[in-house]
Amino acid sequence: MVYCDANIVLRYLLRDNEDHYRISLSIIETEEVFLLNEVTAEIVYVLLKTYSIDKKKVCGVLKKLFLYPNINFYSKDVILDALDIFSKNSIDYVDCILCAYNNIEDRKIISFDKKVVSYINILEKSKRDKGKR
Amino acid sequence: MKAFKTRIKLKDLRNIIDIPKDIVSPEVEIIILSDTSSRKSLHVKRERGKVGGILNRYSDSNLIKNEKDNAWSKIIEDKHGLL
Repeated sequence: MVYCDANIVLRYLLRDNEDHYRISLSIIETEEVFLLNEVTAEIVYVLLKTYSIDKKKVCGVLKKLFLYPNINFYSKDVILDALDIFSKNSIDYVDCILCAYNNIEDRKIISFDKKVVSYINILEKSKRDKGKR
Repeated sequence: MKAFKTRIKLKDLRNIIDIPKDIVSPEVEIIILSDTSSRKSLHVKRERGKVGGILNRYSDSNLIKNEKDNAWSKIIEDKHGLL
């Protein structure tokens, strides 16, 4: 298992340096790769802020990448849910990871960020309503 | 795995690699074993459904140097207005 830095994934997706692309391709498509949550955040922010790529495009491409069976996370479901929340809401990606931990793993989340609290309240109400049915 | 064994003067070998100082003798024997765990060939065919290079049209090699510096600071600025 190799722990990849964000730049490995960025070179793989952007193919802006052919040598680095080939190396990153050989790792990402053939080895067991572990991506830390922090690394996923860096990838998201760099694609959005440095390369000015549309948020939905970033989320769509990363979802396809993160579904590779050899790409591992602490929780793949949490990261995929975070991307889904991020693509549909104006919540910061790191906060989306928090929301996803609440949504997928029922973790209790505490925040002063009103957007996060509001979103988690909606999630929890939705879960309670489903439980009543 | 391939193996190769030979003898060499210690002082010549010290010019090439770091050797612990407690090894002292005029000559030493070296055994070279080929590494079977080397990374696979870099010429990997791109499989269908993979996203390698999919964002190439957004690439700009001048921006690579900005990746580390700009992304985090911009997001902190956007979120907290601290910078």
